[in-house]
Amino acid sequence: MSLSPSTSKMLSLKSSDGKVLEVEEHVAVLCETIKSLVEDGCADSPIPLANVDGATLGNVMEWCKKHADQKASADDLEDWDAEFVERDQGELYHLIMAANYLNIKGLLDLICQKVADMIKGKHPEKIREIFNIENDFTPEQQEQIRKDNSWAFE
Amino acid sequence: MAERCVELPDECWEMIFCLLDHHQHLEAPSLVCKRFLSITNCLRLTLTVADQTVLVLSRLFKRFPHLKKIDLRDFHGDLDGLVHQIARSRLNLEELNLSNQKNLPVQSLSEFGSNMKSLKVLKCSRLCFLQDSDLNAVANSLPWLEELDISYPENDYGSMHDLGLLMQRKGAVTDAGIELLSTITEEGLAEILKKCCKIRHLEVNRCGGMKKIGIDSDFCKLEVLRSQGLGINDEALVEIGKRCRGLLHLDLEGCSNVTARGVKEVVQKCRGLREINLKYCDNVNVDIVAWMFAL
Repeated sequence: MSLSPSTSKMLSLKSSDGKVLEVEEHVAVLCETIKSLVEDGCADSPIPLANVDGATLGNVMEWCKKHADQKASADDLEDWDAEFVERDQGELYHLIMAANYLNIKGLLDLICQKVADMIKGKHPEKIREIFNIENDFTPEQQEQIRKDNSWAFE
Repeated sequence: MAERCVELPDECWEMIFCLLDHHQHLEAPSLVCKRFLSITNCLRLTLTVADQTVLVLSRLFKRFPHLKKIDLRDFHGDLDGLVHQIARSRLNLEELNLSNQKNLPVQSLSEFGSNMKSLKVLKCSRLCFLQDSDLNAVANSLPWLEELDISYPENDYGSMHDLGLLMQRKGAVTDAGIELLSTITEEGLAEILKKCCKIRHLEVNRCGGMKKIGIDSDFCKLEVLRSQGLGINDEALVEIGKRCRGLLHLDLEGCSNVTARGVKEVVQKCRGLREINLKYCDNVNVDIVAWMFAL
């Protein structure tokens, strides 16, 4: 089903912290979760999104608005996306969870790729530092894994 | 601004780790914390076993419970013992690569037959010895195979010692025995085609034994057949056209025994055919292309 901007009406989305956001329908339906609600005719009242806070919802809709814009070229979108993902790790986590919950494949792939790029080629210590993760291995366990890894990751 | 202490669920970390294009990139994450170790372990699907890997193999099998493919191309030790160990590992393997090995470990492959029915793909190209009895053993042990590659048998007997052992096994001690040992015949291939009725993908490049191939029932599951070299001729193509109507890809590179007659037969009968390789088919005229377009 395609909804062109000219026929688009407004939808209101309610975040987990009670903020209501008015979004054009053709933008909001980039979220598969919202699209099915619209198609089933259940999108009249403000749509409650219990798993997405207001700030994240704002960011998600900013991405959807850009990607719903049919005038944007592929190059333009790529540059815009590259800038969009320049965020701290907390915001990236929230965006991943929101994109997962709202089922927006393009956004989910984009942010996951960003996080993957942050991991690639880094030492374990550096990864722990970037993502604020505690090392819960004993030195013996770590040594064992290291040893097995030398045979497992040829 | 989002707070910092939010946790990503495992499924999201899985998606992220899957984007690290090669499993080498999972090595560092596996050392970060227990949770990352367990997520990355579950994502590991392939394992290449080199000679030293055997020492820690049982631990690696436990560590990577979702392994689907094991590659033994670079292994030089006791192949039969290793394949036994793999067969008993309780993994749900889908692919085993035994290429470049001396011969097929038929004993332990039969154990695969009883323990690991998930195996769909068996790759054993460039084996030093490959003979009909090996193909019989594969057909009997693994009748559910969907892909089999027995291309480029080397017929390389190595030292006379190896040859002696092989002749003893085969019970052939005459000079003629060498000839007998060295080829795959129609009989061996027919056994595969008869028993492995799920085969979709068959590679028999540079094998003998396709010339007088008799397929005694329809073989509609076969989608890919690679049979480069002199092992195939027009009669076989007629037979394939008759029996393998579902063929999508046919590779006949260097098949000098094939002429336009055989090619036309197979192209007319296998209407789903998407790709046919006739490179170096010296006895097929280029006119055949125009004929195909006119069909």
